[in-house]
Amino acid sequence: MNPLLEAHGLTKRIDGVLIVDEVDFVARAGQVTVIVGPNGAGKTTLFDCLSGVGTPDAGSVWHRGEDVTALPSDALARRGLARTFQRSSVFPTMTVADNLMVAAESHRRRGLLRGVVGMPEPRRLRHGAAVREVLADLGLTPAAHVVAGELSPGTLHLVELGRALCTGPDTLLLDEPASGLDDTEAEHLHQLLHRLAARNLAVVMIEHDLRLVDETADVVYVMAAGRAVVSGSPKDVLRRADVSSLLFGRPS
Amino acid sequence: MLTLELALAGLGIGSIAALAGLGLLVTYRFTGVFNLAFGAIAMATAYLLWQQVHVWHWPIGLAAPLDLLVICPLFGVLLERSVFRPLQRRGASTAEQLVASLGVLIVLLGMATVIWGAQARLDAPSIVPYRQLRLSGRLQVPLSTVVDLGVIVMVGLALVIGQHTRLGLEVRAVVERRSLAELAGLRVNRVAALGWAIGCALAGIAGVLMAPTMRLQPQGLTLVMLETMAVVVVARLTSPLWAIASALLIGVGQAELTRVRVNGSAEALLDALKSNLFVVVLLLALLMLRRLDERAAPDAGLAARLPTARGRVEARAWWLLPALTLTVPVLLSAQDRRTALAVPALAIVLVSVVVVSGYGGQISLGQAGFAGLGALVAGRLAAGTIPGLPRVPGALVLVLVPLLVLPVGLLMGWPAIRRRGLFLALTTFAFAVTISRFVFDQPAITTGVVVHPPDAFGSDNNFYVLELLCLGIALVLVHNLHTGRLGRALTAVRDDEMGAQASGIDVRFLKLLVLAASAALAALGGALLAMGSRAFDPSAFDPILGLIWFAVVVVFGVDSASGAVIGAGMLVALDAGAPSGTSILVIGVAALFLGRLPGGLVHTLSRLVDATMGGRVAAASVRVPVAPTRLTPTGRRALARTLHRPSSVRGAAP
Ligand SMILES: Nc1ncnc2c1ncn2[C@@H]1O[C@H](COP(=O)(O)OP(=O)(O)O)[C@@H](O)[C@H]1O
Ligand SMILES: [Mg+2]
Repeated sequence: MNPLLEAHGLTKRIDGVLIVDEVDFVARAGQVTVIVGPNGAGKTTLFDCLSGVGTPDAGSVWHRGEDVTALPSDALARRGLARTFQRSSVFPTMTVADNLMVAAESHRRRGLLRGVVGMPEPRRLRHGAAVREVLADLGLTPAAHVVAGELSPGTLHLVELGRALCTGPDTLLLDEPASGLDDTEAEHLHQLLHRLAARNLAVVMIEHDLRLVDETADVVYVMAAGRAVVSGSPKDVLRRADVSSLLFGRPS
Repeated sequence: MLTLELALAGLGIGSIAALAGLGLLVTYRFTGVFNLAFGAIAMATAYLLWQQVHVWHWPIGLAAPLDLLVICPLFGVLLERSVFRPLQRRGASTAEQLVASLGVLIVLLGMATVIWGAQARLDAPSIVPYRQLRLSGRLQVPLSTVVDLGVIVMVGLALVIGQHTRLGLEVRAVVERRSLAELAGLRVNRVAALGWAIGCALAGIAGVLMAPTMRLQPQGLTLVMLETMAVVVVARLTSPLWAIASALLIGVGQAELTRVRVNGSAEALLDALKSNLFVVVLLLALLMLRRLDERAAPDAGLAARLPTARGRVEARAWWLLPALTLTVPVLLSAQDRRTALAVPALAIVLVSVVVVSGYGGQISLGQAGFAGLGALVAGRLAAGTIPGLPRVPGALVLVLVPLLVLPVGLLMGWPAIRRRGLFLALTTFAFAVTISRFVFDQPAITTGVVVHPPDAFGSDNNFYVLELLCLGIALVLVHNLHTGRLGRALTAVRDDEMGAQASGIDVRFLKLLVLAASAALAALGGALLAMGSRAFDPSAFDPILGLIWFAVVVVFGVDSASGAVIGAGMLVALDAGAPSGTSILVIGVAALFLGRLPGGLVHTLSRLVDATMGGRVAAASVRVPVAPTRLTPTGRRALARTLHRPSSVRGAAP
């Protein structure tokens, strides 16, 4: 399967401390790729480098075969690489529908200023249908007109996922999307992500619940102390004694 | 060539700036609050000493220690207790705390103006007798410089020694990580009180030392003190040594410049530079220093937002109030109506603040600069004295002014948008001060500039109609900025920059857009303001006014255009009808109590009414027609959880 997102030798220091250390990474269309690892392993920082939020100190990021290392996150989002954040970044004063609409509309930068003089958006460029579809997919339809600042943290993660989907991505980077959800909700989310992958998206996520990882993941990366220590199918990786001792701190 | 004599002369002003900077730095490090009020505290202390010495005839040897060692520190503790501790306990954002310190500044400014008047006094008492000390040969140094330097050394020593006491250790813990220190049970409040006491005492000392070197005047002295912020910015809000060193360097540099002579048009520029090096350094440091934001505030960076209406709009009925405000002048006498000409013009300026701060989420303290530029350009366009541009007739001026000032907004915005929150606010302020000193205060540029209303609108009545027309157009454009695709994108940027960027929004472009749009609007307002009074008056665009205008907008609701109109009416009415300084005092007090009115006056009122009538959601919001769909379990839960929260669907109450 073709790799949508690739990273080679990705390295990031913060205040001189090595946080991400020469990570090689591939995410393929149609697969769910999961990154696991203890807190502070550098998973979020790796996402930052992949998604243009922070520029890596060394190494390169490739999206659909093009070098995108230096692109900022908005440019990446417009070319199909969307992400969510561990700490919610939804727009708290806007409704859920508006949160998604913003992302759906951001594709086209041209014509933004016509609004200043009161010209309405051309009908063909309205994105209500797309937003409605994503809302329904996520089961957020009833909350469409709720101001996002009033939602629970788990729901905020869903809204953020919805926002990422509305950018029309081919690659999704999700930072702990299931945090704040209870077990059944998390399971449904994972099924949804599986369905998304089946639509030929590359779904990459950070997840702690290894049972879910086992069920959903096609490929697992294990990160520790900034390095991607092992990768492979969940069957192979998660059964390894050294990996479980790493993740649970148990001597085996 | 540097000369020793000039260097010594420069050390005087440099050490005063160092003291002021140290005070600002101590308060910031101890409490996390960037205390803009320090300028006014310095000014008020200087006035207090003047009152004691010249009016009450107290011996200065008694008054000065009382003021500096007792009253100033107590005032600092009072500020901490009554204003900033409640804010910090509530978890108020950096922006809210900045506004509160702005409130303190404005209250002190208002009080000083009410008590001592706005006129300048030349007889500020000096705590150091005037004497020259002979160093060697012909080299002399004023006693005051020696004292200034001595104070610096003493304060520096006290800070160093204090670090090793128990309290000093606590201070360092708090400075490192406020949130953690609180968890660890450290006495954060005591540290904060200490920070405020030291900060206010140092501000007072700086003010008392500074006043005799120049005139005693509320706005003027406050502004001069504020300019010394330069040394704190150069020190990146961290290093006291850098602050002291840069203060002394700038002081010496300023003195050495007096030896430089040039001829021709550069002479005026050089003259301006001689007395305004601090401003130039402030602006350059803010525009050019790298990694300013990240280093400065370990805890503060994230929540630099002002409280807004949280996605709600005031009901249309609220526009009755501003409409009423604008019809009042019709009922007034001819004399008062002329005064009232300032209302729509000022309303446009205030709306420009709403655009940049309320819609764009960027604190702008520099609108006075753009407004003044608008007035100046209007006058010179009509007279045909702008090089390269023909004489422009009539109302066309009002079309061209915003278009000509807009690029200036872009020019400032381009480097400035790298900054966020506090530093962007300071950048806009520094820009306004620079414009004021290097453009408005230059006789070559401003003398003889007359600004007339366009011919067809010469009478006060006609001009008022023209103003209303301009205000109407401005309000429509601004409304469009807040609705539709553009409005949604702007709100997104205001709400969460990182999230907006991850959603594909070009954040830099939008920030630049609001900065430029608000500069253009402010210019239009400034031009009308000057036309109404038929003159270009630099003091009508004093940078301090920019601070006051910003406070007015925040008080009336930072994202409320109708509030801006009402605020303009109130400001003009108070200025005309009440003793000088009252309007400033009222605004300052209101800004201090902002914590009780989240979202501003207009939204607080409208929320009270809406509580009974049902709220509405944001202006920019789309209504996605919701088909009755089958819910997924996740959705059902999401909804259940949502509906369990009180008041959620009506989207009110924070
Ligand atoms: N902005 C930052 N400043 C300082 N340290 C940081 C910053 N961001 C992350 N770190 C450090 O980098 C390490 C990895 O963080 P992160 O990528 O969030 O880990 P994970 O997501 O795997 O839990 C942590 O030790 C964290 O303290
Ligand atoms: Mg993380």
